[in-house]
Amino acid sequence: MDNGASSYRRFISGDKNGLGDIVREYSDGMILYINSIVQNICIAEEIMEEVFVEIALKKPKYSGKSSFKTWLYAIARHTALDQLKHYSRFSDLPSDDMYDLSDEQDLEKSYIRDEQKIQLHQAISVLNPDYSQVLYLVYFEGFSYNETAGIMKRSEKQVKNLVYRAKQALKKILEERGFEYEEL
Amino acid sequence: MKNYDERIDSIFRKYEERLVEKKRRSAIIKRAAVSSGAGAAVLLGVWFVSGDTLRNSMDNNYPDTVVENTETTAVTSEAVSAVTKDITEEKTTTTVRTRKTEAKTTAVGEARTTAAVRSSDAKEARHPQQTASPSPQRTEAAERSTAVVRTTATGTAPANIPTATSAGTATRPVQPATSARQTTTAAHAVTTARQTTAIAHVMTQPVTAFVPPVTRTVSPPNAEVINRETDEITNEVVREYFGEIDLFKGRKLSWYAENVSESVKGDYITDGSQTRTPNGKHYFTMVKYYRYNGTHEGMPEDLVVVEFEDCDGLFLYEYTEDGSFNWDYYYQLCMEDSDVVYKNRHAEVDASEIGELIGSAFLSYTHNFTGKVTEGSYDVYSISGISPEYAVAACDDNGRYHFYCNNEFRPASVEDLFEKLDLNDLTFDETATIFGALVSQHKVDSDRINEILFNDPKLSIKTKLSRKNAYIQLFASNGHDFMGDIIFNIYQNGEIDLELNGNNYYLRTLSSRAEELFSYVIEN
Repeated sequence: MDNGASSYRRFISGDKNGLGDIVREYSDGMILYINSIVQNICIAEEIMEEVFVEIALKKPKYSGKSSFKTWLYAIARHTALDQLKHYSRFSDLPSDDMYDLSDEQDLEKSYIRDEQKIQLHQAISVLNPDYSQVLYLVYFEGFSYNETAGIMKRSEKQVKNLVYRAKQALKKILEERGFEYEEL
Repeated sequence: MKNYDERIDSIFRKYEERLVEKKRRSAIIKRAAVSSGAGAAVLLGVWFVSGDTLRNSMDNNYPDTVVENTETTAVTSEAVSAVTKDITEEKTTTTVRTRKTEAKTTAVGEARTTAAVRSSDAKEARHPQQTASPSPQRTEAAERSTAVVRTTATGTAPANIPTATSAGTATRPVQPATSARQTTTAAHAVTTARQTTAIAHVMTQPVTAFVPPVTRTVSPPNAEVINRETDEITNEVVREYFGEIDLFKGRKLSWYAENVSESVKGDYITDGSQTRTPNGKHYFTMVKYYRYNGTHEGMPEDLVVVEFEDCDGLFLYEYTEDGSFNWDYYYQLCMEDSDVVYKNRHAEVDASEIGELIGSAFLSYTHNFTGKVTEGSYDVYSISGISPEYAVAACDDNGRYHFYCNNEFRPASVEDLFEKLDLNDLTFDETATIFGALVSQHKVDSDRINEILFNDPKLSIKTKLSRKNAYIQLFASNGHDFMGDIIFNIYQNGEIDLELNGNNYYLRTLSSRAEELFSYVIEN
């Protein structure tokens, strides 16, 4: 995680490649995470770009209290929610289901690289956005409860509760789909 | 989907565009600021140069100005009068409409009450043995509503769910309910005293909290007592706790959030002070402490909203006349994501018989003494038959129903309660032990068990009396070590169930099975 922080420091001190490195390192995961909020892979990609544009413009201070990734994802969440409000004020979201689906699948394959996890991820995407967010952060991105709480602006206990219920909901969906699964 | 390089290009392109846009805007703002600043400086200079002349001329012209102003005022007054008249007419029309609405509400309320009473009658008919000895304060309806509860009582009072407060049981006897608490609108007043009494005795605060807005007229907060210094807890904060959830189909809880948000606008009293929890064991630092003296439908008139440092949510207490909290009258509300953590008194009812399943909720309870937290998903029932109001009951995995209401009975005295309950048949074996501690050393008088229970300082028995519970906590003789709690859920028909620190024991008739009961106590 220090790599991200050092890349960001480089960017702040004037090296544009620093931001490029961050984009390479984190953009895939961030798109999938944002997708769990906005439920649209194209918009998720746009928002990801928006996140980095905002970072480039405002150059927010990274104090190092949390990991760089946690900090970055918190900004991503904030931006995603803002954009979601923005989109909700206007017309329908631009969507091409087939295109979205193929994009999402490509990204899953390149980023997650595990068929079982991909299936799980697809099941998660059906869940309530809060559930999919928390499961994605905890089980795919490997954030701790504490870090997840930081990203989602919740208490750790709330995150634990959320994970519990998300798992219950996921279990139900998997059962309905006839999946065989291990106890989460 | 773009590849990394495309993404980076796109990001930097957008970045450059935004940067240019930002610079352009700041340039415009600067120009505007400079030009307006220059204009203002010119005007100021002119004023200074011709200062005396201008001021003198203004003084000389003053009478004319007054005359003109008077005329203007007169015209304005006429206009205002005309507008006011219009508004008054509109208001009158609105009032008429409102009254019509109230009339409708009343009609519906009465119909519902009738249904409730019929339902109760039916239940009474099915359970003829439940002829409760009436309390002088109660009306027939209250008894009937009570009968519904008793009829379906499962007798499985859960030990892991607080019946009084999360922090312990109050030591003070419960105060008589004041009529002021049952603030009702005209509509509800017309909905018969029967219903009002039912609300008073069967369901209080939390239940009304879940009433859909259509059945209530929410009074606005008293503007005079609102102190804006309390804005630290703002609507936003409250919404964070309560607002953005869609539990109970989004209606009741959001409405309640509105009420809470009004409640916290009361006078700010203090902060940072330490206060003891009701069980006297812990000190909490009070973070915020507000007194709400506005008026809300169904809310105590004098309410204290407290936020503790180490506790989630808001704690609402009744504020007594002597300036202290009424720890007995309490509920805690907090929100954990979309989970409502709702802690309060409870009663046990067979909700499926009297309510309608409206969904499920994730609920969390903290045991009074052990601090153990029980969480789970529960079916939620909307209870309309028990009173004119809605209530919520939840069924846990063990089939126990937890009925969320502040279901308290406020006897005038301990004797008042026990007179009716006839507990004098209780006998204690002098060598009995409860939870491993000898009881015999406390000179238990089997004939006067009540006095022993309440007066022996060594045993440090504390009691909590409510309409449904005689709550008895046992402490060791050193007065500190908590030994366990015994909760008698007492019903007027003579049914009593006993809860022993988590082990439930059901007793139909105390007098006939007292021996069995206490042998159970001794063995366990």
